[in-house]
Amino acid sequence: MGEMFLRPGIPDDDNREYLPEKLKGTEIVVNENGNNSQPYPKNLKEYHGVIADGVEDEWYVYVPDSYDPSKKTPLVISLHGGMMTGWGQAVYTSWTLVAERDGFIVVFPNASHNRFWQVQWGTWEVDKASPGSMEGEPPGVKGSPENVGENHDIRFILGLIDLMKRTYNIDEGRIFMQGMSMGNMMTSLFARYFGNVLAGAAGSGAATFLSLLYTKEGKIINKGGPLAFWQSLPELNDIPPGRELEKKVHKYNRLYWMRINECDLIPQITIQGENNLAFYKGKKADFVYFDIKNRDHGQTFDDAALIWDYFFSGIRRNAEGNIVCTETVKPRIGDDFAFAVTSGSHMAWLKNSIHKMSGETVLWRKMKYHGLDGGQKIRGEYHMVPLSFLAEAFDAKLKYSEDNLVAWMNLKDGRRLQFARGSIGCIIDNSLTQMYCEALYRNNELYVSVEWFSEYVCNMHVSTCEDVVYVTDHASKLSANMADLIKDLLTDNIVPENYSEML
Amino acid sequence: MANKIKILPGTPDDNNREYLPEAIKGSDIVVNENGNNSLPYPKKLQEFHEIMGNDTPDTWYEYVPECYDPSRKTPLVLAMHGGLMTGWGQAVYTSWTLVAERDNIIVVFPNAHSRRLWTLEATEVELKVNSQLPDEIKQNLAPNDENPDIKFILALLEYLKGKYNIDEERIFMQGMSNGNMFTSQFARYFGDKLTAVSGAGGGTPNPRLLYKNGKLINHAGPIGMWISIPEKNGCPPWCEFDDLTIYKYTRVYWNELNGCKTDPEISIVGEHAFAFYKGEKADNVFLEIKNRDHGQTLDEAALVWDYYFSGLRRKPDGNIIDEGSRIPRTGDKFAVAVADSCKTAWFKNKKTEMKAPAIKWQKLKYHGLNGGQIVRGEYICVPVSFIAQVFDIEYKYEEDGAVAYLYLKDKRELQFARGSIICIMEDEIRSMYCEALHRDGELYISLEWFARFIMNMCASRFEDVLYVTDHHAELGENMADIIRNLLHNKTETVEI
Repeated sequence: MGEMFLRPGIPDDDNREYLPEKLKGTEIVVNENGNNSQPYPKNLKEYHGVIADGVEDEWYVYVPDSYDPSKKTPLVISLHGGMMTGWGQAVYTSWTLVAERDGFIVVFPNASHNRFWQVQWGTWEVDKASPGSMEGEPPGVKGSPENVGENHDIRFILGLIDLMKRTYNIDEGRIFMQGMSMGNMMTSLFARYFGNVLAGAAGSGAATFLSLLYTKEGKIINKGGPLAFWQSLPELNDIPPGRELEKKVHKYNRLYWMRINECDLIPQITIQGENNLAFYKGKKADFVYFDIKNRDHGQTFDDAALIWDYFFSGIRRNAEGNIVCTETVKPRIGDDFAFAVTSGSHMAWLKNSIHKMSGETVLWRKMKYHGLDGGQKIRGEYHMVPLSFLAEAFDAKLKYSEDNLVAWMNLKDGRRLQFARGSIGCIIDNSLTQMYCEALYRNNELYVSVEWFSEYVCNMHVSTCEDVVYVTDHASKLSANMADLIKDLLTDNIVPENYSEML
Repeated sequence: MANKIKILPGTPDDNNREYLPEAIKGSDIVVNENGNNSLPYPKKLQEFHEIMGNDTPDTWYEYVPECYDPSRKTPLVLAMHGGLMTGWGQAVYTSWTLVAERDNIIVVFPNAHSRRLWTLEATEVELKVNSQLPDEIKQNLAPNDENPDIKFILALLEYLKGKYNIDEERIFMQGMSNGNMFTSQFARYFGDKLTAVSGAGGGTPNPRLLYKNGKLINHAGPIGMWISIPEKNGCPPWCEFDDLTIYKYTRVYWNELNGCKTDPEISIVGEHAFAFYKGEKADNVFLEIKNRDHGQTLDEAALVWDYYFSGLRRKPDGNIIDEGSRIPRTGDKFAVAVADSCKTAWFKNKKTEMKAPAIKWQKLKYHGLNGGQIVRGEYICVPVSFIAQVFDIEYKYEEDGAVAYLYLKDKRELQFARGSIICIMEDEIRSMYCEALHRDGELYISLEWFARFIMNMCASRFEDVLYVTDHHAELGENMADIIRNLLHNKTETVEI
């Protein structure tokens, strides 16, 4: 194991280009909300040569100081985004840092044609051309031949893997691919057709056109078989355009690998800071869905490190061709303490499973209406849940008056709370405090704001996104795509009716 | 020994859009509005009508707690309703009756003598505004010697002292909105008859009632003052000054009157932000309530009592002393505040100097925008040396501060580098909110990120001011203004 060290860069804060050429070989760094760079890695070496089809190609190889030719070494192939380069992918990811720490080799190929990978284009929905669909490749871009085996970039990468195997002592069961944006489209194409060459793959910042994943009859199109797969989605990615379509495309990209890998339908979920992770266990291979709060199209700098630490570090394809998962650097487990609710649902996410509450979550609006001549302004929107659920989540004791209009709650730390129908007040240890909004009486129970109770009474972190509230004991910001996933879990909308027939 | 209190359940009328629906009177109907939330009508609230200092009868409501003992000196609170409200309305829109029951206080809620509006003094400004208003919404304006409400309240005080065993050292007044303006005026002219007052829902909208030629206009001397400002309060459109200035001038007036010359202690708990001022003559409190509209929060009376009135006495010599309030007026045990471009920071309720000023840094999206940009995040970045100081962490710089290490007490080791959005923590890589900045030999990182992600704290920002605590706290506009002034060493003064 090597040491990780962040070298200081020389920031160019005025840069507005995708990939300023002056980053190559220098310490200049740029920071953009989807893409943050590091100084040019000292071990990164540029190579040129003919690998396939008589075409001269270019690639970059990072071999860590600790590389030992006598030891089987994992290989990661990392594919740049459109208009980028192999070296650009090296500076915009943390692969070289992790490679140095854990002793694996990373190769960053350049797309052969014009810095664009020869990918397949399609439509976002299988049965119609929605906005943003690309039934033909854009100008300046070469599309993939129908026979993917004739795709030069595919042949180049396959040849590059062989070259790496010949040059280094590569562990054949531990070859991985990761790509960003167009490099993610290429990774997806490679995985769908030649995934059997890899143990795992990951992609950031671009979902795959659904017409490439499913037939019009809803059947999965796949030639590569099960593969450990990781999808990274910056929340502000905006591909495809339009939130409803984006949600559908992300969900069906997720279902694609879940179905192939025969994953459990209920993941483990953890949200740490801005990183939202759903870990799925699969009979054939595992799957990870990663949503990053408030990030734009691209790949976060820690994306590669997370993929390695949580996923690739423990995955291998055995001699029989099966994907097996051994211990990873970081275990793929959900938050120890967390719960989530969404309005209109009886279900709550609690301790990484779906839990039935005694009543459904009510979205309640706090109004200003004084001085508005009968009008009103919404000043706050809160998710109201039965006190019985909060008592269960926080292991408190709850007692109601005979008519259920008054409730007392004893917390584990000895504090005693009292609530009453219609009152914004809460008495805590004989002192009055005010909640965000009043207690509601519904279904013979009192409901209070989960936001207020969690933040104010229990000092938890509360994050709300797209009508889902997530509560944890550590800093966490719920992201839109994870909110959508949780909403599906809580509204019995996890998979479509034809899920079992997809394969 | 305090009595146990209980909130009674109400029957919510969620469709109500009136200030004070008459149906509430005597019933358990409750209404909830973002500035005003009610309780069921208190059963023991009694209504009185009598001639009281004026030629025509006045109305008031008395709340005498179950535990009242005529043989024991009992504190008195007069609570003054807002314009267009009533004494009983003030009783249901406050928690005075609950606190009274718990701590044995008599609370009296008078009705304004006429038109449900308190009569106030006026400058040319108010007189001009009033002359332009339709009759039905004209303010009640009069000089003090013709003010029926002053006559009423002075007489009522004497009447109550005769009727009950009132502790003359513990007579308080609290008012909301129009009742706050009356309370402030009463305190400025007759404050020596009280121990402390509290006003909700705004400062004094016309600071020219408070000052003349830079001098305080005051006829009654020091008196404890608690000022409550809902963040979304809003001042009348005719005001000469903006809202923040009005609240500041109100604050400065009472601080100057009571000899509050030192920096306050600050505590932000949930949506409540307190600045506790110590005075040579009397203490003051400034409370801002996040995301609340004009009015008074239901817990406000309880806060005023628990943090303030409960400990205050005016001794026979006229001096105001604090014998210890139910909840001590102390600042947050752990809190840090910083402001953009400011080298001074707030830490453990004192100013402290950072080695270099805080920087507000914007995180941009610019890919695909043809040279344009979108701001995706704004963070207050501070030197690593400051983070080390406030969180009691060892640190080390290398390469003139371009590389920094932090060694946390829980053994985690962190490394940062100039221009990198990454923090290496225990050989793991984590993205921060934005990259580390290198300025003048110091490496800066986002205090929001460090506080939340590394220290599991709460960080709340308002514009250029960031407040970090170990509990949930939401910084509002006025507290940010107080902190900004403190950190920029701008003594709060008036310029009229």
